[in-house]
Amino acid sequence: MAKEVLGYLKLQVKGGAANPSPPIGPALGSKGLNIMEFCKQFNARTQEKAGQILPVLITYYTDKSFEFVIKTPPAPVLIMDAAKIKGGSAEPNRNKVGSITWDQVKTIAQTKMPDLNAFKLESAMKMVAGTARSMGITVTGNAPWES
Amino acid sequence: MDFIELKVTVPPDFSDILIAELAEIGFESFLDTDYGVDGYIPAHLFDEQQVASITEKYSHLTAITYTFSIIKRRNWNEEWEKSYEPIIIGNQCLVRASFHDGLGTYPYEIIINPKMSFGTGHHETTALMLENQLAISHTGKRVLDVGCGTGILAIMACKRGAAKVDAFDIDEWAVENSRENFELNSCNTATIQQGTIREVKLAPNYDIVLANINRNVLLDEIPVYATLLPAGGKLLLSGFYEKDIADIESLASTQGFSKREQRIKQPWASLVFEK
Repeated sequence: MAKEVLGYLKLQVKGGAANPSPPIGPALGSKGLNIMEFCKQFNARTQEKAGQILPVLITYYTDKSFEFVIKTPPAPVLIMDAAKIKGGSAEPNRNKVGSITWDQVKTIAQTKMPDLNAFKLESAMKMVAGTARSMGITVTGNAPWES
Repeated sequence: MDFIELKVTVPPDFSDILIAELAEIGFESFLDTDYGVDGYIPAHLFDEQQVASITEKYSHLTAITYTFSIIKRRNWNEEWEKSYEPIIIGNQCLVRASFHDGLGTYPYEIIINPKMSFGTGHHETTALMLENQLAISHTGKRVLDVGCGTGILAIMACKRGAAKVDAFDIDEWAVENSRENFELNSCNTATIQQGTIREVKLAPNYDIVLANINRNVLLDEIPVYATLLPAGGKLLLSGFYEKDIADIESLASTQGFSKREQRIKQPWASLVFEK
């Protein structure tokens, strides 16, 4: 018989850095899940992406067991890494604090594709570029579909 | 350690941006909510000015507000711990909590009241380490338990006749918990310290080093373990996957270690080396 799902949780945690503090502790602990088991598994599965924020979707069951899926890092995190800046601009439209190229936009869009069901790459790139602009980060050069 | 819980009300389009910005100022983890996102940071690292400047930055693009409160430290794992099942390792050792009855039918019986620390024998890596310990002599040996969690491996070393056991962990809960568990098991030869391997006070050498941590920490620390083990010393490792064995083994061999044992409980692995 299939296990009965009790609920879902969506957390975002730095790779390799899960520990029983909040929010993992209270969110999982209150459901009777073994927090220490989750942390050990999460840290081993994310050891290649240590320090990077990773969304994790946890499914927990009535028998106190759980499973989880690790998603790709949020686009803004990848954009900040690509632009190698600390924080977006204080004035996104006027004072540009960083820039990324369309090649970098494409790389980020490709990284995000697995979590963007049925999106075309071009749509994903437009989404990434829009997010970058909201953060005050310029996208330099022409978009591939413009040249 | 106390934490700050920052509750940010922001439309979904901006919640990932907020997460990226907050991560840059020390927020460690986040919970997606119906209204936006909750962010968490150790209380001593929290600077409200920095949060205010981030929200201010986006205030002309979207509606954004926040509140914050302190979350006091407590044992979040209590719910699981109060009803965990005893477990038998290698048909020789019973691991149980103090609320379970003892059986007296196994050569070894370890009492662990975990209190938000790792190591009850339920996880594959702990079971593998204990099985490896059951297969090597500890009698009269000096043993080091690196990242001891509940202290379960140090306790096994005591029960197997080690002359001296030093244990340490970076986590304050683990240190307190190991001390309690050493007492529950009348483990008088074991000591506990808080810190990293480069911070704690260690003996010049040991006969056995136990480390159930993770691949990255082991790859960083194997050269240190090598300095602590004389020829013939044993190194017992776990906390990594079977696919990581090659990396661990190749580093260990450059440090003068030879592989003596390999155990797998998918996907986890453990290795025993001798110097």
